[in-house]
Amino acid sequence: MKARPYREKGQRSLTYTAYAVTIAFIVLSLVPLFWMISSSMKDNMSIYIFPPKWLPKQPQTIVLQLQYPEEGADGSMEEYELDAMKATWFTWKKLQNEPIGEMKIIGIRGDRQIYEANTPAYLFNTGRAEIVPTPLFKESLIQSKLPIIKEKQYSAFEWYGAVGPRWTGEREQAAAGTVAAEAAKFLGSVHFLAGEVVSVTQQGNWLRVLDNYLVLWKLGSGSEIGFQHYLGNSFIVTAASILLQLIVGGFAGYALSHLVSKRTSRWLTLFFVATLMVPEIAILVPLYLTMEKLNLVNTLWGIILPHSAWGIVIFLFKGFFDQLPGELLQAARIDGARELNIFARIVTPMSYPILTVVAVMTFIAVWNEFMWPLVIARKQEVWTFTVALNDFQNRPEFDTNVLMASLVISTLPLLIVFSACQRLIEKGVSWTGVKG
Amino acid sequence: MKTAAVIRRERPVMTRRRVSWVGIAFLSPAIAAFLLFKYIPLAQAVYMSFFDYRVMDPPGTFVGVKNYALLLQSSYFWTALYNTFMFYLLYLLLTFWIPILQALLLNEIRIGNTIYRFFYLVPAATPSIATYILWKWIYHPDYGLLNSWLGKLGLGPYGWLNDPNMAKIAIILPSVLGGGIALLIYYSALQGVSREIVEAAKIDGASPWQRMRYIALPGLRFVIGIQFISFTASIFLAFDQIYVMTGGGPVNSTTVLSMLVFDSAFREYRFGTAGAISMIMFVIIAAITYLQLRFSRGNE
Repeated sequence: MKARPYREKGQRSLTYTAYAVTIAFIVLSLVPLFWMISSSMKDNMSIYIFPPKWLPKQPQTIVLQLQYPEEGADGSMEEYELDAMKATWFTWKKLQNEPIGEMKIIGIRGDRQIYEANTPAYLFNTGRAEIVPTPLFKESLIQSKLPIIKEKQYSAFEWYGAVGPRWTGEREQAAAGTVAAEAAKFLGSVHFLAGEVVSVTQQGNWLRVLDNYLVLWKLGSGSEIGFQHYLGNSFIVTAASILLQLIVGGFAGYALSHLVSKRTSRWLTLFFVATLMVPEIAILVPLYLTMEKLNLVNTLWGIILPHSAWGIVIFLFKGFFDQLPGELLQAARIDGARELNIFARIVTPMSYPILTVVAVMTFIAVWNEFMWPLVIARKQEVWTFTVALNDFQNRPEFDTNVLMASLVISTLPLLIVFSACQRLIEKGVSWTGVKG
Repeated sequence: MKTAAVIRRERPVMTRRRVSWVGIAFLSPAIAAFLLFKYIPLAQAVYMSFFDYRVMDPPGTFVGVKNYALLLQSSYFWTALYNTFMFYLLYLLLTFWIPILQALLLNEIRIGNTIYRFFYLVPAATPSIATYILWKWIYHPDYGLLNSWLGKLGLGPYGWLNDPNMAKIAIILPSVLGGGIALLIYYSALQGVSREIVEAAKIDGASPWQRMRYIALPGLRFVIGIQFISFTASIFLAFDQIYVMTGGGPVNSTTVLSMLVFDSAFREYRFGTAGAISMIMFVIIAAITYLQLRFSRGNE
């Protein structure tokens, strides 16, 4: 009989429990994340069904073929475009709760295609409120909106004229119950189109699940301030805060360890670290009034500057610099080096561990910060993304699927940081956690 | 030995004389920042709390302790105080111990430990504001995932954030699963528990469960104490989750002191009242921190 390794009583039960509990917690905590990603890929309809579905539906590309009579074909390109826009926007408005990813209209005259019009879902959703606010399908409506559609490039319209590709002549009928069949039924019951509907087909297209992200992007392009702007603000604020803390905190920590007498150092350390006891909310109002006096309300500097006064940062820096050998610095001093040179040439290269720890810690804290930006940034231009997210959730034009897309995007920076430097974060977290 | 002592005695004298100006230069940005952004505002907050403060014409009229007196008479304030303590108790019961348990068990896992740690960290990548908005969606009374699941078990539907009796729990639930950073703190502290003690206990016949209970857990005591202080402060000051998820409602069931400060300052522009509430919070937190420090020192 083969000798089995000695196993203690209880070892197996403990190991099993450990795996089971760990995996259970991880799975549970990943469920909301999964739900966030899945929701961000749903169309406007399936986001609001109950009971909710785990996975998004496959978006469909609807292809509509319109045939125009050859006789009397004196219509200008403009008229055809109008017809294509009616077919696109009215039909889609009627079916706005279906998983449509793209609408393609092909105009046919004789045996040739004369135009092709394309509208992806994200552009339809961006322009929906503006172009077709109500299901009132009137010629005059689209006439007045056509300039807007053209200007904002919601729908692409390509005119072939007489030299278009040949039409194969196929007439397909959509299977019953599909979105295409719904569209055909709707178009059969109305009379606003000049062309005759010869076929309505649909094709699955998974790529269009990313359209909510494009909506998010599109909402912020042009004159509007969008999510990309807020993310940019947050990056500026975070980067500037990190720099400020490294410089202010680094200098101060170094001076406390090596430049002033023991007694001064002790008192000043207390002066800095005691502020850990001062809750942010307690000084919120006077800090705001201070910023007002300095004319920093509604500026990014107003968000950034108070981050220069974190007791924990100075505490960490001092703790690190205390361990540096004073003899080395003393030797440099005797050689006539200036303090600033010593700091730049000798101290800084030895301090990468603490610099990265402080940088990562600040990144996480400032990136997540909400209350201070909410108070100090009262204009949209200077909002950080956290303030913007809070605003998005209260805005009716933000459907939940687009909102979820914005949450996914805001998760990415930290996710990248976490995967790139897990070890570093673990080191930093344990350091600040134990000492702070 | 002797020379070292001589050098050490001489150095501070030299250092002080030669570099004290440099020291002041190095320290002055930090001192200025702390004065400007911490001490002066703090002093101003105390000062403001004794005034019927007017922004246009500061400081307004001196009212003595009237702001405090009015607060103590206001039922709104007592509701907020009660809610703050209730939140604290519930957070303590529902969240505080979970990362400790997770870390103790993770410590028993030998294979794939780094990967498990990474996955624990992943939910922490979602910014906290985003997490709260996400949970609002999960709680949605009509389309929410949670009600759908509970419905399958024959429970609900619940109002979650719309139900005064459940709103507190609903605000806390996201934190139950989001303790990734705290877990890492405990886990790395566990790596510092000496192997010799574990081996000695093994030889003495302690079972793996007993070793976890009587060696690993006590090894965390110091870190737990520190975490407890910062946990206490963060819960007493909790603002973001409440502001985003309920705004203090329904029926003031989630109004806490920090919401009260924010509302009275930036919605009603009663800065004096806001200052008074801030001071009361400051005192409570200082008292709890002090008690906790006394208590943990008394234990040793």
